[in-house]
Amino acid sequence: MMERLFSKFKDNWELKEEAGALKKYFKNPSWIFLTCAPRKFEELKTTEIARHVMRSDNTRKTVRGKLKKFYNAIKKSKRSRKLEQFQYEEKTFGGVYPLMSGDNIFGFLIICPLKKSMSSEFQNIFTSLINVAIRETCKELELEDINCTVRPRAIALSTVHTVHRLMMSTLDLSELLPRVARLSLQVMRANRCSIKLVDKKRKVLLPRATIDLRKEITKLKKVQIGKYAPGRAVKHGRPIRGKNYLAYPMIDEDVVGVITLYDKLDGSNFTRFDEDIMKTLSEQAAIAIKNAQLFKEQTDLTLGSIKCIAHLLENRPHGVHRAEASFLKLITIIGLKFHMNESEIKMLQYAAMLHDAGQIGIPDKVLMKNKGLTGREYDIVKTHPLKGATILSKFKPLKPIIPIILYHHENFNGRGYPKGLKGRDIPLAARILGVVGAFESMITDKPYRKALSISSAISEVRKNAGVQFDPDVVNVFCYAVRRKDVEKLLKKELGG
Amino acid sequence: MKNKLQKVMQNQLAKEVLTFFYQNQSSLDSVSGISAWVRNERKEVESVLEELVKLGAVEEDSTGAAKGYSYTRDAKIMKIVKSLMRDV
Repeated sequence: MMERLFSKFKDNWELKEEAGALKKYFKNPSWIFLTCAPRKFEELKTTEIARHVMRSDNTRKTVRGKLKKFYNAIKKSKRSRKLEQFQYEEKTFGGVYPLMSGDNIFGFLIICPLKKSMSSEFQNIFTSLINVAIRETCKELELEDINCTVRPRAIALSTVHTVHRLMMSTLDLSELLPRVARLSLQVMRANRCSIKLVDKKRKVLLPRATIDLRKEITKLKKVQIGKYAPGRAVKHGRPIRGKNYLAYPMIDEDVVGVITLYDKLDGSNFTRFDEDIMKTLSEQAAIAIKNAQLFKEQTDLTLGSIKCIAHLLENRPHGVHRAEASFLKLITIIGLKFHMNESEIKMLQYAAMLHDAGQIGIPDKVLMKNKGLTGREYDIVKTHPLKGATILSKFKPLKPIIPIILYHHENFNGRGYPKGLKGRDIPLAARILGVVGAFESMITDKPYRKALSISSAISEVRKNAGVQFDPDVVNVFCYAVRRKDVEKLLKKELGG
Repeated sequence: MKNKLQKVMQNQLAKEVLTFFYQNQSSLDSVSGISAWVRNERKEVESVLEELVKLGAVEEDSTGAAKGYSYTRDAKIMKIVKSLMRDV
């Protein structure tokens, strides 16, 4: 520390300014810096004084034959801890000042030859300026130290924060796991990363994501818990480190899986410091994976409930959901053409499966009637969107589909039900469902009529564009329904 | 590639950003973070980062609103940057 202070102090710009100012007043004296006080005179003789000299032009001459005088003055100033003047030559003087940081002397400054002796006022000013320069240097060093210790940690912390944000921004496991692998590779500067998740039933680790910078294709291997580095890391719940690998278990209450890194980019070995970084990374990954798994469970539960209700509807005597897969495909293609995002399309699909849920509240004899409905019966049928919306509103995850269910029987010309909304006042998803729902109904047998052929149903939809249906949606529908994959699916579901 | 990187590094900010990644190869940070490390305006740093991403010297990892930038893992580019850093 004192050596650093000494070498930095010599380069202090204020000191250089001061030397410049004194140059005229004392007729260009030399500034000689000594790192420490010599214990014996012989030591001073061997000290490479010239190395510590700020102005070396006339130093050799300055020093020659004066070492004994320097030695005595240094000894004196070391004792007094003050500036000590000495007779340099007959008419010239010199001064020695101990350089101190707190109580510690980290060097000496010898200034000579001076053409006149320093007055006590001048001595005070001179030593104050030197002390200010010392304090400045100490502060600089302190800042340097802070920068050296805090900055790398701050950078690491910022990295952890960014990794956290990137990991937590998805709940889709198939997207999350390759991302965790990629981020681990990046932060650890390794060539290969493999992520394996625990399969508790089979007591094995299943490979879920692997990235190898050196190979395009990598083999995904199952590993028994307890075997190899990943298996041992999971079994013991602690990192397993070798020269060129590091397996770190992902733990959130229980062990979720393991991240294994192989071969550092620079060929160096994995270290304890790498373990520390991986600890944070694996903890974040474990939480992100658990969240994604929980989200998937919840989504599956929601979908299961929807399928269950849809199945109940299908099994009623008038059930209509015969072409479920093609119906959902049509809905998805149209939704994508209208730039709906993933979640909007998912909600549209759910609405498609449940759009007639309100028919549960309509008497069978009305739905099963094989003749035209009376005005009163038709009024009852018209209540099904509202009834469906009321039933489904009890199920919170389905809240976004309520307007779709409620308005899917609204007509583009404003003559639909239940509210008589017109044009683009009808939500887009409800307009899409209106077209596809009507098409599905047309190609399905009803108690009061036979199913229309696909081409007749398409003509019927076209005929009603701008009246019952949104013409833009009809256009996209006509494109979608003529797609080979949709045609094939429709034929399959409708039995040829 | 070396010429292109050399040209980009004539821009003082680009040089500082690349030096930051060269010296902190494990770092993965947002635009705001990198702006703080090189003490410069966010917008300017963002455009420099985009340029370095195009050249492959910096990698971008983005998802939704979150974006992270990190040093390249391409051995060839790393070698070029190393030689440029020696020249600096």
